[in-house]
Amino acid sequence: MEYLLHILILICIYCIVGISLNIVAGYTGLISIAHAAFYGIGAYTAALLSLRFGVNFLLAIPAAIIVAAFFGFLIAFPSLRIRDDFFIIATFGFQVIVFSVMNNWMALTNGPLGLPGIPQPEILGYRFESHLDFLILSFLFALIAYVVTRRLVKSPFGNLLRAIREDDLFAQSFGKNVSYYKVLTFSIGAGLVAIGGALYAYYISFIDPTSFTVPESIFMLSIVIVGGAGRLRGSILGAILLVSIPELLRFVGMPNSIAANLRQILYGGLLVVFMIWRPKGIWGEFEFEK
Amino acid sequence: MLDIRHLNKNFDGVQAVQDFSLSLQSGKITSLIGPNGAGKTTVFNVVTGFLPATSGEASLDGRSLNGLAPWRIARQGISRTFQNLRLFKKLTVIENVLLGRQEQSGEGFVNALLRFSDGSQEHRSHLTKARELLEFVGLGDHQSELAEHLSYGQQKLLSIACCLAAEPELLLLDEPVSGIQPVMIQKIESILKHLVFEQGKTVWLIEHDIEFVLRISDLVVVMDDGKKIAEDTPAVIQNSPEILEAYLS
Repeated sequence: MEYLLHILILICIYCIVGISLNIVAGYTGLISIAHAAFYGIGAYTAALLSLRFGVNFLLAIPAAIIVAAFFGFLIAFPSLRIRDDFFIIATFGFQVIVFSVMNNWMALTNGPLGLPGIPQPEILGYRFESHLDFLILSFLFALIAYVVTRRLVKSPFGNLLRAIREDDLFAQSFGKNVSYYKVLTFSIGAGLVAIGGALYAYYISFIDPTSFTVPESIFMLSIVIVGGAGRLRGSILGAILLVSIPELLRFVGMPNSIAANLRQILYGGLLVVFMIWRPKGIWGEFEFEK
Repeated sequence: MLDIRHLNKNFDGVQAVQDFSLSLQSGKITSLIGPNGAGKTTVFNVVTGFLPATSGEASLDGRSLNGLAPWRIARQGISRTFQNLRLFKKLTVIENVLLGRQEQSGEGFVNALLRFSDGSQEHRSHLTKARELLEFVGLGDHQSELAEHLSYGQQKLLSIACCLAAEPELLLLDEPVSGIQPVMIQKIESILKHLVFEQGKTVWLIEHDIEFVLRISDLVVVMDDGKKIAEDTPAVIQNSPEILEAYLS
């Protein structure tokens, strides 16, 4: 039962991750390999604030959002003037840099030793101690993230994102400041995934740089691509599938050491298979063609 | 209106446009003709900001367009179509036209999140206007179809509707009647005439269909090899042997 709750909590967290990357990559067409970096920035911000300054959960979350969104802006602003393909490389570079900072800036992040003992979330005196508590908390956040994002994508703002995805130069001829929207959306995506990162930090109560690597970014992209780019419920489906399927490997009797590596092959393999066979994903609206 | 002075565009040594000057007359239809490679679309691209000029100036009602990004130029009241018929293919017809609408508060992030509603007066008025435009070009029954499912001629009509959605003063149309049936050509012809005579808009178009050009234009500008070689009424151009020679050579 605890195990099932654990899976459900991870699904909720990865729903937030999938939704946030879907707005950036699925709806706007900005393929980013930096999403785990922002997830990690969210995690470290929340962890450091609560560990070092005793900041309450309810303040740590917005702080994580703001810090990650700020870094999102920093990377997007110069990079978006470059052509799409090079933008992807720029995000890759950022991801690598962030990991390196997390791993080496001992004074700030404690490097590879990580940050243990992150306190449990406490809201108005109530402590979220059990798995069930935490599931309710993460489910609420996932629900909010979904509802908020849905409002966004159903509005003229969302229509404009899809237009940018389709043909960003052409969208300019409609009088739309495309660069502004790309930077804005990228920053929103970064801020949103930081919520997932912060929740993860509180849940596991220990974080270290190995959770925020390039393979993790690729895993996040897989959620969007497999579930379906350009449809929010695609991200939910993607999160459910990609979190639960590898767990099934356990029941096949595979030793943990192999299972972990097999997982990476699975994610990479899924990406390749879907890009070739069904680029739209299962429930997606958009196919990555270029 | 649009004023182009001594426009030059050089691509790594290839002089695509050389010393091109033109003052568009308001409320008239001006055509730009010339053989392939004469530089016509390049002029359009430079004026609308998609390409930087090598030298020269363009201004609209005295306001300089030099160095402005395409989206800013579009906001000045200039809408354009493209030679290769660009549309948002995976969006519906009505979504395409709605994108042309300017100053939609629903496009602002905070607004979209907090205040926007399908039923709001602003959005409904944009929708109404979009539907009117689709009726005007004859696509009223196709609102919910994906743009890619329209026929080529219908897509051309849609691209004009999208231009009009921004309520521009000036329309730059790149080959608006190329590759379509005579019935469609008539339709677009009557649309353009309505825009100019009833609505006082200014149209500048590039075309290869000379009969169409001579029928519809108030002024014909001829380009060859990057240079403007003639600018006159259809009657004069029609009877000029040099022009014909430039075209056929």
